[in-house]
Amino acid sequence: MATLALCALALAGGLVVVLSHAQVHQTGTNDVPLSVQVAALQGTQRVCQDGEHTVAGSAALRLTGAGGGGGAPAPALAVEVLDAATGAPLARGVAASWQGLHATARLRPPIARERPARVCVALAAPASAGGAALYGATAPPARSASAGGRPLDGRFRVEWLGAQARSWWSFAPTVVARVGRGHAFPGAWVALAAALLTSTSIALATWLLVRSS
Amino acid sequence: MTASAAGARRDAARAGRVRAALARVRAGAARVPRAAWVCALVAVLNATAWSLVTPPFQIVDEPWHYEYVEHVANHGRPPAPSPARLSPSVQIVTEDLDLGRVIGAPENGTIWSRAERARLARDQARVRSERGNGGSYADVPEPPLYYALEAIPFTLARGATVLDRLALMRLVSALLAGVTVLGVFLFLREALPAHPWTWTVGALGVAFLPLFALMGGGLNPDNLLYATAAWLFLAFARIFRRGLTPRRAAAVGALLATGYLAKMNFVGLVPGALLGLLVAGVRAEGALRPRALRLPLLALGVAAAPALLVTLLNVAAWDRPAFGLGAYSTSGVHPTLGHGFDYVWQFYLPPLPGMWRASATTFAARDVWFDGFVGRFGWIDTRFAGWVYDVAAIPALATLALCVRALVRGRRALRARLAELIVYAALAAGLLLLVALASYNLLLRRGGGAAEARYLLPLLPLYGALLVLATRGAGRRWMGVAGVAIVMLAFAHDLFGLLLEVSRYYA
Repeated sequence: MATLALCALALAGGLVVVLSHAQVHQTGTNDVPLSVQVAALQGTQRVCQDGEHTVAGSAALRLTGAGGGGGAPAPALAVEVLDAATGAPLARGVAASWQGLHATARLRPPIARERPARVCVALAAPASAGGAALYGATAPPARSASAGGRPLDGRFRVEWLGAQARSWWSFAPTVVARVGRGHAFPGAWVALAAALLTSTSIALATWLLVRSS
Repeated sequence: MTASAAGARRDAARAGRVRAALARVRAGAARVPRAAWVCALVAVLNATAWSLVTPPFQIVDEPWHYEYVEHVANHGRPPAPSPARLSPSVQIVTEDLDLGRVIGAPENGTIWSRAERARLARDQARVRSERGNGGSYADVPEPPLYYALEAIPFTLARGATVLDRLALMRLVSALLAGVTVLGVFLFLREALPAHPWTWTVGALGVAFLPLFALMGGGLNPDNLLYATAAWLFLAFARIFRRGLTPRRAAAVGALLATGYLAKMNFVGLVPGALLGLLVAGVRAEGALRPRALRLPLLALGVAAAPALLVTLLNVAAWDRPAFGLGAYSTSGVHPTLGHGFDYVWQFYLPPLPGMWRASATTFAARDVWFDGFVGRFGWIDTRFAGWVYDVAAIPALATLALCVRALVRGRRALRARLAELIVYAALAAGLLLLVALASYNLLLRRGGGAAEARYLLPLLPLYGALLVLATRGAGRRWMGVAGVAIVMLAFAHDLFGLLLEVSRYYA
């Protein structure tokens, strides 16, 4: 019994630690996988991509790529989100630093509603010694990102992020809603049933273990 | 006596036979320990939880398996070789679920917005055509039994959407996971009869293995293969403990037929099963004489009848190759013994100096088998962080060490059961060899391979035995601690596996 209690405590502790870890969660992506480098930013070059959709509730935009190189520091990126129909700016931001392969720009103002958009990226300081690369996937020229009106080899990946870091506890209602959407008989019940089934199976197994040992 | 009176008597006799058969089933079920039923129930519940968390069609080849079931349900026969084509109703669902962008791209979750759900619901209502080709025959050449079983919920849910039917069919797989764990528990009871509570440790260790639960929550013929293999191991454990009888020989034959009709990989277990029957026959007779072959031949007869029938139907009625070989066919390829040996060796073990190396044969045993066993979910694109596999090696090595300790301490008993152990080893070796050779064949045919940890799950009874032996290896004083720790680790493994699925697809 003592071993069981200790192990259960350790397991519960591990779960609490993992689920309490706060991070910024995605509100959406353009679903472009990361397979190739599609753009290289140098000097005043500006890369734009049509066919994007803003996601309501997003307060930041994350790009994946590589910055700097050759001893130069990773440069800051300037990001602009434009209305696809009118070209009017919807939000702007600067990704001042890179975390690994990610550059995240906080958007001002935050995105209030979903609409077709164009996303443009450039070096925030054109005189930066090192350039930056954006990663994504190949696409036909008509759907590719472009630089100076010339289509590039593909589309870069865009991730829309929520306003602040949230623990899994506070993110749980969102996850519960999302789990239900892609399944048969959609609804919050899908995630809740999965949780109930898992808890029941663990409770049954624990009872059996105690009883039989 | 009137005709109606004779008919009534016949009906009464038939009802009596049915009642007697039901009574035998009830009596048989009553002999199964309650702990075994609970372990099976736990496996069903856990696999169902995995089926709810894993998005539709996010288990390897699931769209093709759905297509196969659809073909069986609509045409009453398995598909013939034909170009791969999903039916419009399945195609539209895979597109609306963004399968093309989610599979192989762990940075992309599944659909989760209201707009995406609305489009999916709209398209499911709009596109109802079930005219497909029965799946990708080249990749899914499997025999029809599992699909025929799944055709039952598919047909019962007539009028339901693709996702509704998939959910129901996944439940049948979850039930098969329960049948597998029941078989594992009973195998452990027969093969390792001392310390009954350790059977629970072994069976729960299997029930909470995430890779097994993932498969149990998905539409895949592997589930019937796992169940049949578990019961085959049980059949041999009973035979070696209690002797070969006509009923047990017939049971082995029925299992061989079921396995052969469930999935081609089962063929890997057949040489071990034949050896087991031969050894058991000789032991029953006390010498190698023709009479010793009587019961093994009975088993083979029982196995051969349905297998021959399906082979005949393949050729005469279904336009399929006699043995439904598909990806396993060696026509058009030119294997060599030397390269084949080198490939099979490197499939599981590090290469030796001078061995032939093909790029696709450079499997790292740890990467494919250990990491795959610890957890590669979805379309093998969902992984834990790298450090998790390093940490997992610690309890894995400790479990292995305790198991070896138990075997060393029980070596005298092992020697007495050498023949039985050789049969289990032959069952395992046959499967390992078949998986490696099928992969070698794929390499020759199209430059690919087929190294996935799930292919080794028919050996789950041996995994359960390993956990039982590890528990005993801790010694009488620490046995309880070791058993509880193993089960708690299995809980943790399962829970964090589920959380990994949640974070990969929905966050």
